[in-house]
Amino acid sequence: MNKRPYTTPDGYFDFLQMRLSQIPEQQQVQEIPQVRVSRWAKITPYFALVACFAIAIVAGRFILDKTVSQPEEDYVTLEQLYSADLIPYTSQYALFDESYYEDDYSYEITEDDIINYLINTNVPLSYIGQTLYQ
Amino acid sequence: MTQQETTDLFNQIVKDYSERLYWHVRDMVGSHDDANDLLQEIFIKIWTALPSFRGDAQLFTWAHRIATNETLNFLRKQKVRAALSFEKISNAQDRIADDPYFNGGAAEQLLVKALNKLPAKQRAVFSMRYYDDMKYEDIAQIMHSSVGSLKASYHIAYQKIKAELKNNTIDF
Repeated sequence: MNKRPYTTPDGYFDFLQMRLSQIPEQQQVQEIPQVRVSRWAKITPYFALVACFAIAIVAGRFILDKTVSQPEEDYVTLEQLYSADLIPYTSQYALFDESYYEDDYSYEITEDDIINYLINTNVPLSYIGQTLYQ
Repeated sequence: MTQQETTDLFNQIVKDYSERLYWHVRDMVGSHDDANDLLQEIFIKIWTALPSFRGDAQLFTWAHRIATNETLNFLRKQKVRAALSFEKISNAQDRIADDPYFNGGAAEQLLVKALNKLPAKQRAVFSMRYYDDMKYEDIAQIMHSSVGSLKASYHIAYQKIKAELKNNTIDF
């Protein structure tokens, strides 16, 4: 130490040792007490989050059902529209020859034809019965 | 290690090594006030790390390593802070002249000035070897370095200081 051109205040090292010896006490006071958290407490927020999502989905579905639902008759119309392309198209010869169907007696549409057609186009039987036999 | 054993060991380090560590830090930072503040930080680090001390190194070497690392960090931060605020770190000679705890003459002032011009790690090696007469093997453990590179580092530091003093016509 004798080579050093430095000094310290009088009694510095006694003071220093006293000050440094207080570090353990000071640090123990500063230590934040560890709160033990159970595993259940850790996962509870995630359950709550999942429950919130589930409630939101159910509520949304319920509101949609209540506000956007359609009357049942509309389904019939829709089914008819879906099967509209099943209606037989006009024969290409008939387009230019008006007498094409004249000799063809089978052209006459019978009630059976209508019923078959309606059945083939998925119109409900109750609807067919109501319409034809009322 | 129980809490009481840790406290006892800490008090032992304070009693046995606080003075030596103070001088080691003082050699590197120069100012008494900086060394005083830094020593508090170093001993808090020692207290925090003490439960993980495995005893595979000597207690003094271990404490010295913490002190060296903390001091190097302090010097690095000081340098960065000065660069960011566009301030020049005050001239070593000016600081020495104002320091009430400096009792050297003109030659010692120049030596401290030359020491302060060295890179921090070189300064640490030089002060441990020159002021504390520590063995290279011990310094190697503290600095996590090889004896060969420390010898080279000391030699370079010695040559730089010699050249600095020669410029001021002082024999070293």
